[in-house]
Amino acid sequence: MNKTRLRSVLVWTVVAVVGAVAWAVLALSRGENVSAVWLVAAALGSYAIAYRFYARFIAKRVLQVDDTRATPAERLDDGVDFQPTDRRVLFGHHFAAIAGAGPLVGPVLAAQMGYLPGTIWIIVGVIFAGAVQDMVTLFFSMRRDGKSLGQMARDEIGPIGGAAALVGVFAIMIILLAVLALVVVNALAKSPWGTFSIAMTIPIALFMGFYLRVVRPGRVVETSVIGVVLLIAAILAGGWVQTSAWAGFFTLEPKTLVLWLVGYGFVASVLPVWMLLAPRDYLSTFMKIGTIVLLAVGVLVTAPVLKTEAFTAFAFSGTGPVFTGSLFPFVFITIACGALSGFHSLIASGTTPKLIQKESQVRLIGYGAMLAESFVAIMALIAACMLDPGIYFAMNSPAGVVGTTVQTASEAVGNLGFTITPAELQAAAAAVQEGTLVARTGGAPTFAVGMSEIFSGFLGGAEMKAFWYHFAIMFEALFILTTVDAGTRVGRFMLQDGLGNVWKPFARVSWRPGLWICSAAVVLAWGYFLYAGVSNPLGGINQLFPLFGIANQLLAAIALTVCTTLLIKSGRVKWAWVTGVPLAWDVAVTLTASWQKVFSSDPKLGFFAQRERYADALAQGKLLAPAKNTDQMQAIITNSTVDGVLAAVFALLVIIVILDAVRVWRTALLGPTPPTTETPYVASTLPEPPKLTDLVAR
Amino acid sequence: MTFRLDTLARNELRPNEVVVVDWHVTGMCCADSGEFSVRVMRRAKLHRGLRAVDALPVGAVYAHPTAWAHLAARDVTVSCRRIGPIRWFTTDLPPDAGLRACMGRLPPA
Repeated sequence: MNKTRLRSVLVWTVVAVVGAVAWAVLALSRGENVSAVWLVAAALGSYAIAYRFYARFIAKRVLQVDDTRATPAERLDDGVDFQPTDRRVLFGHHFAAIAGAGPLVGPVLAAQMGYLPGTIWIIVGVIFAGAVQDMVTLFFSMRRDGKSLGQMARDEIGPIGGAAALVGVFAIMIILLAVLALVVVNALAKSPWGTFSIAMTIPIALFMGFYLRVVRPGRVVETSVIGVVLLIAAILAGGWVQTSAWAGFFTLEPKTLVLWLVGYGFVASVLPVWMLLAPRDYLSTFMKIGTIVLLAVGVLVTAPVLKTEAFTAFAFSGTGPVFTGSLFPFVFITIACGALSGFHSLIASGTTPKLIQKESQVRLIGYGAMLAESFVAIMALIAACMLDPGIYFAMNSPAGVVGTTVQTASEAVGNLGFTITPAELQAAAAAVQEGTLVARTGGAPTFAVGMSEIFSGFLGGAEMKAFWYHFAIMFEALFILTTVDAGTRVGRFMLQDGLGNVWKPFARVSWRPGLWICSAAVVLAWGYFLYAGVSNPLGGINQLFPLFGIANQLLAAIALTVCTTLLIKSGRVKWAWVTGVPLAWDVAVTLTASWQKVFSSDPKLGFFAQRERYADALAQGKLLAPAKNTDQMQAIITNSTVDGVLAAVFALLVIIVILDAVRVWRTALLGPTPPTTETPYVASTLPEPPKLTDLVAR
Repeated sequence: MTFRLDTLARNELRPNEVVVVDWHVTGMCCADSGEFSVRVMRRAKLHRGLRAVDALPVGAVYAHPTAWAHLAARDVTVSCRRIGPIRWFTTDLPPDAGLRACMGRLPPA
């Protein structure tokens, strides 16, 4: 054995041992204080092994990447104007594209079942499902000149599967926007500091837009530095506003915030992107990467102890107050981004395949970037699990469960089996200068409290807790507001395309009335779900987040079906398990969750059982808690009906896509190999880029 | 891909200026995309991220690399409207062209 090989074996043995020890500590610790550093070690050790061995196996044996083959970026290059993008730059682009607010919210909500279920799913899920989906989708899209997932579904499965995929994406978009907007509403309700800081991001972004376009064109870094300074000033000023006469103006009820958000969504989605949307996104990208790195450093420096148990009783009873349902399937639905997210397949079949330099780079960019996103989810899980469970449940349970005062919350949390006194709840709110932390559902406030604990542990001490809390709220809201705008635009053109089949003028995408009508329709659609979520006495997040998770995993099922179909059609049948196994798992999860949400006889779980219970009570003239009047009873009945129908439709879409794909698989396996749309081989003339390790060594 | 400046655009574009087709990243949960915009810029202010693309007249149009990738197989016409002292450069790309391109839904030219 030569020296290099020996060194390699030793290094990977050490990595494997560190990861294994960390997993053993997590698995065997019960009722003890476990340091969050073990979570980080287990994650990083597992990621390293997976990237080195499993991702390499998929790239070399399964996909058979070929660096002698020209990628679309090279083939479509006219030799003068364009150069394929450096893989380090493309990694940054792809990571910034896939890591949004999603991985921050899901793990926080799933923490109600303890730290272990979420940790296992995030790490194992990303290695065998999420990163595989991203990498394989990226590879097949790259072999088809960067075709989108929808196009590949239509071309390789058929028009029925393709149409189901498109309807699925549209429905998901509406639910996604409503859920994310709900997270912002819950974070900003009755918080003048937060509302002021977020409101200030709009003029700051507008200023940056004009500065970048008119004053100093192309100076992205300079503009972003100015933006970050202004944002920090806005957060500091928010503290002053909270104690000034302006506080009343910025103290808004949830329903008022909904109206503002709906209006904002409409205006922002019809403004030119360079004016508001793009500068804010530059800001959020810088903030996102900087904050996550800082958070990782903070966890390693402060080594916080996880106060949540490995498994709480809710993991087995399925009666948790944050969301109802047992560990299987609901942990796997709640944590999507960070483990397996269908949305990633959109970007893996969007911009990235058109910019990639060499085929082998799908491993770094597709698989590696998803591992980095998974690490973000681990950070969010740590931020939630290091909080006292009493505070966690007081914050994340809906007002229908914990009431609205510290006294009622303390009592309700006590009934759940945890201890927190009213004075402790009051002190926790005072530490971050909020009026209350009770029933601040949605995940964002919890993540912000956890993050402020970590940051204040090594940057500024307890006096800075309130600043870091509002920094975290703004950090999350920045992503979400950008999503609301961009998502409304995407929903708008999908609706235009759909309506164009019914009435031709809508198909003319430049027809202004169609554009405005469709924008309004999309805004009203997600606005409806947002309003229903805010006014739902049962708690909006509790009701809508499982639906969002099901929808996102539906998209993952479509992506994995397309990947499996392509593996079979391209003569790689013996490797079809690589995407086939995660597909089978995802389908089992999605359909089980849909089945339970539609057919469960438990009113806390099944939408229609819930509807029946409240409808029967209303018919008998009774009021059921937490409804306080007949209007609230009616709201619950309507919301349950709509949510139940949507859960059924999502399940139906998955079944249609899979059945259509099975037909294609059967044809491919029994008959001659069917044609695929892969572009023919063209030899690459680009030189092999140096290895990353060589670049580091230089 | 060729960018053609129509007569209005040619007349309004000054000798020391170029048309820039820019790309703006837009976020969408954990999958984002982007959008095009078009503007004029003084040639002296061009930064290295922008690259000259096939254009008529030659050298009149620069594009962001990502914008180029999405428009690689497409001919685009650049026009200009004047409202008082303000010149407004436009293309024949449909609204939401960037998002449509990212989702594979950009209609043919």
